[in-house]
Amino acid sequence: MSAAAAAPARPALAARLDLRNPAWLLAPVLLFFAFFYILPLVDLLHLSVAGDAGVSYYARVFEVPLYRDSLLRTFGIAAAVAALCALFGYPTALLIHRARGTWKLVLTAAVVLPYFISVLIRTYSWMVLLGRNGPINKLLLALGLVDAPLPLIFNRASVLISISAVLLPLLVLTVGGSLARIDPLVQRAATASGAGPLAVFWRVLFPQTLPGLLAGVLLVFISALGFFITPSLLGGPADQMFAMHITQQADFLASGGFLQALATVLLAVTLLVVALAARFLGLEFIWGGQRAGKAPREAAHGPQPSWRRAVLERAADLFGWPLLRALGLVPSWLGRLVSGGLAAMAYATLLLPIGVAALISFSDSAYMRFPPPAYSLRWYEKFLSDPAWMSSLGTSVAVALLATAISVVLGTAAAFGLVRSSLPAKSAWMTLLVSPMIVPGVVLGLSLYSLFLRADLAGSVTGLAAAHAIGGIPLVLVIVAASLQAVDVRQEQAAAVHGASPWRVFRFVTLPAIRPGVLAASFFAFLHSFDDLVLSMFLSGARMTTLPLRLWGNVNYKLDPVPAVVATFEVALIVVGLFFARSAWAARQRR
Amino acid sequence: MSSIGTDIPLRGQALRNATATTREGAPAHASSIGSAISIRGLSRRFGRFTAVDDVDLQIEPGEFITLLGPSGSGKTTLLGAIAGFAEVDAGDILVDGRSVRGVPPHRRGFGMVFQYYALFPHMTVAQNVGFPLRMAGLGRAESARRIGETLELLHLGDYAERLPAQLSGGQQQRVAIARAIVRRPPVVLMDEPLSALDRRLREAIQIEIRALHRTLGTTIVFVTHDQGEALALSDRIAVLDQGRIVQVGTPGTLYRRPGSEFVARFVGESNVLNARVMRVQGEDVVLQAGDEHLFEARHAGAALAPGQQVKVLVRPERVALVAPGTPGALAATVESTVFLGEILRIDAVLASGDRVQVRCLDPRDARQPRTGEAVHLAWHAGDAWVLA
Repeated sequence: MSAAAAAPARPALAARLDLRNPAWLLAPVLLFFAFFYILPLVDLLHLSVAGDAGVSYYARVFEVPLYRDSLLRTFGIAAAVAALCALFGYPTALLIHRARGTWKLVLTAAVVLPYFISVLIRTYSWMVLLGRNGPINKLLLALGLVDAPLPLIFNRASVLISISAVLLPLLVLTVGGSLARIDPLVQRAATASGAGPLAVFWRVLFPQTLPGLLAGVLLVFISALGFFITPSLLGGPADQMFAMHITQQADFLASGGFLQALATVLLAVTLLVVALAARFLGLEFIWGGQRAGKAPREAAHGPQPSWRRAVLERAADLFGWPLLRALGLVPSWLGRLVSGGLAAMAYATLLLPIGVAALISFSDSAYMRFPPPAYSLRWYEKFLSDPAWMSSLGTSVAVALLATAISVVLGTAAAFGLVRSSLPAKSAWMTLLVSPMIVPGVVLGLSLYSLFLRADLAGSVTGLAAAHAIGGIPLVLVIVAASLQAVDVRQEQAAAVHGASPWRVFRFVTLPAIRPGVLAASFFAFLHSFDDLVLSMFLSGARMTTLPLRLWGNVNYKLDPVPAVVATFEVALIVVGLFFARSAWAARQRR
Repeated sequence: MSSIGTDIPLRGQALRNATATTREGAPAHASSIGSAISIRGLSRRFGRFTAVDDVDLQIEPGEFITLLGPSGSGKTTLLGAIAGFAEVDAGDILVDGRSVRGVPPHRRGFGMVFQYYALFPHMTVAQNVGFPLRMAGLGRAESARRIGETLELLHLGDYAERLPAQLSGGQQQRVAIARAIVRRPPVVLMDEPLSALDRRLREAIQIEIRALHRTLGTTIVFVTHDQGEALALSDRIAVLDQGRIVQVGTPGTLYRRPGSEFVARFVGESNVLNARVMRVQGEDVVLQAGDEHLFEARHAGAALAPGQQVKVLVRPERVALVAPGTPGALAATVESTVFLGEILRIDAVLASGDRVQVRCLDPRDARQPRTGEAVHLAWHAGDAWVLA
């Protein structure tokens, strides 16, 4: 063969570039981000202080009680949501961690499944569940506990519960990741050293998952800061969250740079929280990585003044240790009962809304009556035969496919560029490339809005797909980089030594190893685009209606069972997707 | 050794022998604080697979006993049952005469060393070693004193404030041992503790473990698949195969007088030859290998009948190259010769087709036999052992 004959000669320039230092593979994604991500954010900052406005818009944000109060309220809601997620999510992660075999798979799937269903659909399900004629009120009436339906919806409690339920999987999966990294023998060692179940948990398990728990709580907090779909649909007038001002006023173009100032404040607040968190956890927590290098506590007792240490030790001796030993006498079934109960409630909030929505989709009634007076497929017929719904579905699929293609190509290239190159400060590059994950959707949407107007991209499939790819690329990058790091470089060297060209090494060794990761990443990138409402609201213009946009209109103006049909279809799609991803997931778990 | 016998009865050690707790200042001797363990008819099944099959074993107080067997032989499950981690389907375990059935692992008061250290990654060395003391309710000052003593004993004094990740593998293993012995427990369980270390380190820590055992006098149950380690460390070895104990004995007995071909092949290097019984005279037996060669061997007293086919063990280092015509010598052909440093290994094949390995000290001046060369092999009658 000619390739074999050419082997002793100097390898081609491209091949040498490929193998030694593929940092140049970062170039496409950096160009893409420069145009679609960095430039619009700079533009946003610029507009917020443009003309002779100076800082006057910012002054208005902080002086007008409407905005100032909602900023504080947003902090309060986000903190409450984070606390609720920790309270219910940690026991859930523990339950999954201790489960075995099929049961573990089922418990994990029950957390992952809701995670991938769009926020809009899950919020809609909560509206059905908590509604005047919803199952909870029906149950209370049937039991004779109340005489009239309770106003369960349009209040703070419903906002807190539903945002927590939407973000719960994020915490469970983050904590679950840190639980999975613990050496199971360490727990045995603690038990063999005389520690009861509670002491094992408190002294050994919990401290090791603390970084994971903190990361999860912060991710939930940061995500909750930018929420607007759930509070818009489930909150009352007193539950206005900060991001809602941006979307509500986006309808009026006459606001000058004020909206940009609002968005900048939201972004700044988010980044401030991230920066504070990064001091303790490192920036790696954003993408679920671990801080590289230095040990978490280099000098275990170093910085504490000696008197403080003495007081703490005294307190631990007098109260902490005796309490821990006394609590050790509490039978372990009681602990399991409490944590199991919390986990059960967590599963109820995750699965009940989906189940109720699925049931409603088969209703024969035009109203959201529960239980449905009769069952039929009329809403499925309506959805599938209505050209408006079908064209929205087509648009969404087209946008999502294109967004997936962009995300996978650029994200995979970036993963290679980061993992395989000898680039300095890889963590900083990674942070830059995954940073869209933490930028609130409304900020991203608003920043792209003026760019899309100028570049005439508004309402185009390509433009919207590119906007969706901003969030899709980090998803792909994180997953593919992890798969790539798991590939044994010696296998590639073995292939090369035995005569494989760089391209063939990639084709026959590297690609098969990372294929499950790439497939999973494609699935996630597709759903990220398919589920998106926020960017579409800003960028779809008047010409184009994606499926989430049509759902949004439907849910806002006439609550009928069609969104339940979409919800059921999406559940089916994700179940099928998870089924295919199962083998890849199982393989990752075994490692 | 320093005065590590200063012992104070700890709460939570329900199983400790009450008479052997307080030994103020006195240097520890073997048989002082170790517990006796009696395993009776113990069985454990996983579905259709029987991990431990009706095992009986009597462990003496202060004994160093090794559970030796290939992977899957049930040794780790047996150790887990003693520790309290493994469920038991049948049988019982008695510690100092009392059943530990239903006693959870954290109330058995044992120490345990795990294969990959299993140190608490978020605690310093001192905190790791102090963990069992705090769990037993010891005060801070007393804990600190005993942590210091134990760290000194294992040459870890300078590392008290380090985190496990900042230590080498050998140091981590010594911390794990320190954690297991800090309470001076009556029983220390060790689950392949040296398998993650390289050979030199392994041998160094073997010596330390041996010395610790002498100093502390605790009962040590040690699990390994490495027969060399078992021979070097143990007072007695229990060889396991497919969930059953096939032989229990001192290292010398297992090596020289194995009860079966499995034990013979598993413990040490071995030559197992096929032979036919010619005559039996008490413990001596005259055997025939191949068509003509006669040699003597010893046997355990089982009924042997003339004409019976038997297997005979001869350890490679007991085989000598002799001059042709020596009485009892067997003719063989050299297949290969390997220089191993202090010894020379010769692989030869007998006329009967059996292979014989010879290990002899490197003959400084003598010529090494070449491949294909005819040689004559012989051994003392006492070094040939008829396997039952």
